[in-house]
Amino acid sequence: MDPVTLGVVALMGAVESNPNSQVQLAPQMGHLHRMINKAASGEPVAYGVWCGVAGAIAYLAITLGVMPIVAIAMGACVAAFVHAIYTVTSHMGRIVGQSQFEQPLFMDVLTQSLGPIVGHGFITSFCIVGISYLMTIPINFGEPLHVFPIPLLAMLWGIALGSIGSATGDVHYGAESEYQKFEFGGGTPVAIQGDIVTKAPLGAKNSMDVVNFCAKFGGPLTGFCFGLVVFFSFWNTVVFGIYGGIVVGILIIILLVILNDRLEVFARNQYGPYEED
Amino acid sequence: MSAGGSADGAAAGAVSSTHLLLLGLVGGLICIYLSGFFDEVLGSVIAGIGAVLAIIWGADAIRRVASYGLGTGVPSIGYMSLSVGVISVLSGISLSGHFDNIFIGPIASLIIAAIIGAVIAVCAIKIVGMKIPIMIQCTIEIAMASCIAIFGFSVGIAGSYDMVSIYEHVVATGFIAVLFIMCTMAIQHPFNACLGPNEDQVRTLKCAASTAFLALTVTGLLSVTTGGLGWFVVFIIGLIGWIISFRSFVLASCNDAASTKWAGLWPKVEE
Repeated sequence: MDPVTLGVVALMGAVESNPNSQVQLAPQMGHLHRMINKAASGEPVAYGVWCGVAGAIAYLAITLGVMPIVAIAMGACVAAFVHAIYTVTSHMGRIVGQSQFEQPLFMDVLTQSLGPIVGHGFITSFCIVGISYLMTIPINFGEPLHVFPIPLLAMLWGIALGSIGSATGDVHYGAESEYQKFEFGGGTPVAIQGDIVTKAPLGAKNSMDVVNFCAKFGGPLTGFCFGLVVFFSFWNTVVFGIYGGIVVGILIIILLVILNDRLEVFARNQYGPYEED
Repeated sequence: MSAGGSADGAAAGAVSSTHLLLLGLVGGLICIYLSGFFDEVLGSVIAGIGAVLAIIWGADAIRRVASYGLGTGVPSIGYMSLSVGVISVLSGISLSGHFDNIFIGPIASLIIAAIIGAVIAVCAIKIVGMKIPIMIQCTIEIAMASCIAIFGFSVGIAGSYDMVSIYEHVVATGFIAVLFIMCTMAIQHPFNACLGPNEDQVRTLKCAASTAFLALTVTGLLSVTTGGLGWFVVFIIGLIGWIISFRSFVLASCNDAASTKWAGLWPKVEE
């Protein structure tokens, strides 16, 4: 493969700068690895599918007279199965797509990671379908809170959760761990992309080592942000009505923009190795 | 070389894209029309098979357009085209209700999908300024494939392409949203999952067949309440198709991999 071609391929991957894409880029940069490459689409679509399928199966089971909590668990089981299949195809497909760099296809990496991935997917879709179900049941035998059917709500919440996870959690999905040899706070500039650490103190570094960091920071942050989105959306839909809600919504956005700006400026001044040009 | 495989950006492949287009477009449409002449059980299965053919065609179209370096745009173009699919299916069956002739539905949906797809592609080229030579053709193809896929699965759930039946069993229950997102995944996932310098069209299409049959299997489950044994037949056909295509994808991946290992470290290579 000529250098120009290699550059194009590397740049294409670099467009996607999250840690998963770094795993994708690593073999081209000469770092063979034992990490899982779970490129099951963008997260919004992926979580839309898991939650949508879980919601649809739960809805059917409830229609057939199954107890709601059991029905939701049934839906989440089917969704977990779908999740597992998509994970297998994406790991195998992406690793084999790199075969000219001698990257082996490690089947044990896949089988070891599949359990936690599926378990995580089950918990997520169970919770999301649970929220969707709660939104549709009547309060005090009155009108249902929401007129949408469960599958539609579950899909919408799934897409929302996937987007939030992708936007806020992504930065904590383990880039710090994959780039531990570079100075903290420098981000992942294009020049170092794919240049990841593939060895652990003992043996090969695997995705579970990386995900430890994610579990500490990425997960809570995603949950916190999801909670904030639900909290704020209730202020401008339920509390202040239609027109008051629009004003409150704009105020909340302005407030958040200012807060984000202050926080980022503070963090860069405090920790970053950035220098003014 | 693009991630798709050839030197000039365009993706080459062992299977001609024209053949896949014919398979998806003509085959899918014929399957949907044929489903009207059989009873509910057989009709559901045939329409579902039509949707599977359309998904395989759509995945190939995604592969061609994404080879120009779409990157994170792969899921995006999937979303966009599937939303065109949903809109065109609903418009098509509404038109068939308006003219009181159910045979108008599928073909009207397809034409509407092609028109909206063309408008979107022209916007992408003229306004957004994307420089992809096959953008218009591929967007139209993906939109039409999405339309057939959603139509096929809707008929698979409802048992017929009659307006009332589809509104009752697919739209009112909210399954249309699940079909939307499931077909988005089935169409855009194969190329997204297999991309890389050693991506191979046949392997990607095997992956597409497996995601399509998986969607058919779930569709079978979704039609449990529409009555009869139809759901079970669709479910079993989907499951058999999925096992065959998934097995062939896994075998092809193991064969094409640099090496397949169950333990150990990577080989030493010169940097």
